[in-house]
Amino acid sequence: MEKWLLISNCNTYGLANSLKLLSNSFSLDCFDVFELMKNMETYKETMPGYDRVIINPAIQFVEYDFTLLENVSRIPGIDFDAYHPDLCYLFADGQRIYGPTAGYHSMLVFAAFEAGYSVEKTQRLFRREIFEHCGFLSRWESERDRLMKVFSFFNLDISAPFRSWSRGESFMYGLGHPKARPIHDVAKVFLESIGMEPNKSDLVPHDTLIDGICLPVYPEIAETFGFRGSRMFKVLGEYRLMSLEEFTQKSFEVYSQWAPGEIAAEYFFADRYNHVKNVIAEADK
Amino acid sequence: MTNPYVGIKDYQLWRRSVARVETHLFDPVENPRYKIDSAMKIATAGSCFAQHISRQMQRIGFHYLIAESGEELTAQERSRRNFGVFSARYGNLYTARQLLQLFEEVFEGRTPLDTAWQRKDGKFVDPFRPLIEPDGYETEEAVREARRSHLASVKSVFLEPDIFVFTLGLTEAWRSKSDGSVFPLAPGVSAGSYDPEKYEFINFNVSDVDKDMTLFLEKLKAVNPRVKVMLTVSPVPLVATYEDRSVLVSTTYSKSVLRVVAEQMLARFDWVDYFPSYEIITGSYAGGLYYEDDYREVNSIGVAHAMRCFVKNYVSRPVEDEIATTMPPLPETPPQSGVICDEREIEMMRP
Repeated sequence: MEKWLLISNCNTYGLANSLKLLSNSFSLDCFDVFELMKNMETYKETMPGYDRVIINPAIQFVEYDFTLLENVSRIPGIDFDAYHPDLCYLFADGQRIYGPTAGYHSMLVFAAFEAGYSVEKTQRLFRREIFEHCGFLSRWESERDRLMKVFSFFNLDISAPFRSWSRGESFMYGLGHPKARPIHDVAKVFLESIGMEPNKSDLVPHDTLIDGICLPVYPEIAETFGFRGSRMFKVLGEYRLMSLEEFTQKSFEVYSQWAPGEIAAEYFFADRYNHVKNVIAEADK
Repeated sequence: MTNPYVGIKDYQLWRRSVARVETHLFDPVENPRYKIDSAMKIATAGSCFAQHISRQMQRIGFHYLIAESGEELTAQERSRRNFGVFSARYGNLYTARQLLQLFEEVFEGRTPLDTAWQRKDGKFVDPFRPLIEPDGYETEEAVREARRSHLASVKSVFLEPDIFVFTLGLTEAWRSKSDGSVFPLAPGVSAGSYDPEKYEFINFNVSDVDKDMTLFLEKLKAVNPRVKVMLTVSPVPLVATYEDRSVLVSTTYSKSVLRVVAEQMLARFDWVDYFPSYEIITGSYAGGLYYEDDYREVNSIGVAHAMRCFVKNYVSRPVEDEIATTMPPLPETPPQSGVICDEREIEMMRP
């Protein structure tokens, strides 16, 4: 039996469980990229001993040349921001800032804080008209096309499962956190792409990412994508939901620890954040 | 070798326009016959699904014609007494015959024999809109007086709109044996009393509905030459059938008749268009997603889908609005990159 190794991001364990359920032709070890970095020297020795090493291409920033390995496959992560276009990362003093939903922040809430809004007034920004002007309702097609392009680059065609993931519900908890079914389907598509016939079973492994932060898809955005949505935020490591009011309050508490102007949106989100800021300024007139 | 299907459009092919499209992006509207702008007056009538259309038209900001506004009442009272549900307080007009006879009553002096039905609580209601006034009326004369005032308002619903939206709902109805008047509800259901000597069940066929719709449209155009009509078929199944068969079989018959007639009107009048909300809600592609748990009521998600298609295809919109609703893209990244979340988050999710 072949020995396989999987190294990925937060998708690692869901992907590993899926691969194991889908085939009896290999044994599989797995760890995430942070584990790899911690014990790089050990893994440098053990990795060549595997018949196949599957990596998430996003982990190639680590100090290891994966081309040294004989049989490396690549499975990208599912990154999709159409459901959560309000999300951004913030930093101050060169460090990422953590709030009530860890590193994920709401651009609307941060822009409202910068504009001096109260918590109550901030809630009122969460409405269709504002979302429309921020462009929050128009992310689907470009994100879908980008996702398909990324997977196609690695010879993985996920277009058919993608359509079923989005039927009547969201398939993401956040920007890079898919639910269990999409991860399972990606594992299946991968096995098929290398000529392996997956086991015929309807079992899907447990959802490993629900323990993390689960961001809501706001109802006005969800309606556009054909489901109901929510304004409740799931906190990290607990089965507890936070209301938008509590989320805003706690975000404000975090932001108020810095002097005005010290916090900024990370480079990746800067243009979007400025756009959101302009929309809020316009709405205030 | 060639065949007539070579070169047909994507929307003519199931795989390209249905099977390979995400459910919420499905859009069956092609070649709309006219566009609607915010200056045009829109009036609505029809079955209960038309109520959703009315609400959405108002929400989107169209110039929605309300001939009976109840402006002297509080918002709560207006809602309780069914003001603004449709352009006038005619209640649900389920059948083409109801629409035709209402027009004839307004413009041609048609006078129904049934003018007031008594409820169990002793109050009187209008047999042609028995649920419109929840408190009912103290006397039969009060019902007649209210109807006279109502008909004066209905007149403007036919004379004033640029767009008249009508949702065809049912083929089954109850009618008076005396003068052929058709009622929205059977006598005895909410008011009146069922007497087989006076009332009879009717299930209209294609020829009946075709005749009623054609007559109505010709008469409407005669009094309002600029009007354009949008027909829809209600996707809401029958709540009950009086035919001795499954209610689902009766639903299929009823909707089929109405859909055929809508098509015939489309072929007959170039100022009539058909908006396929029926297909959007009931289509197999949706797999029942757009119904509530009773498989009958259409949910808000389904209504939203239909209205997205409506706005996208029928509403003239300035280009600047389109630009304002897009979002700056994130910087381009190569496929080899991707999202790595925080270690402490991953920590939490390790087995």
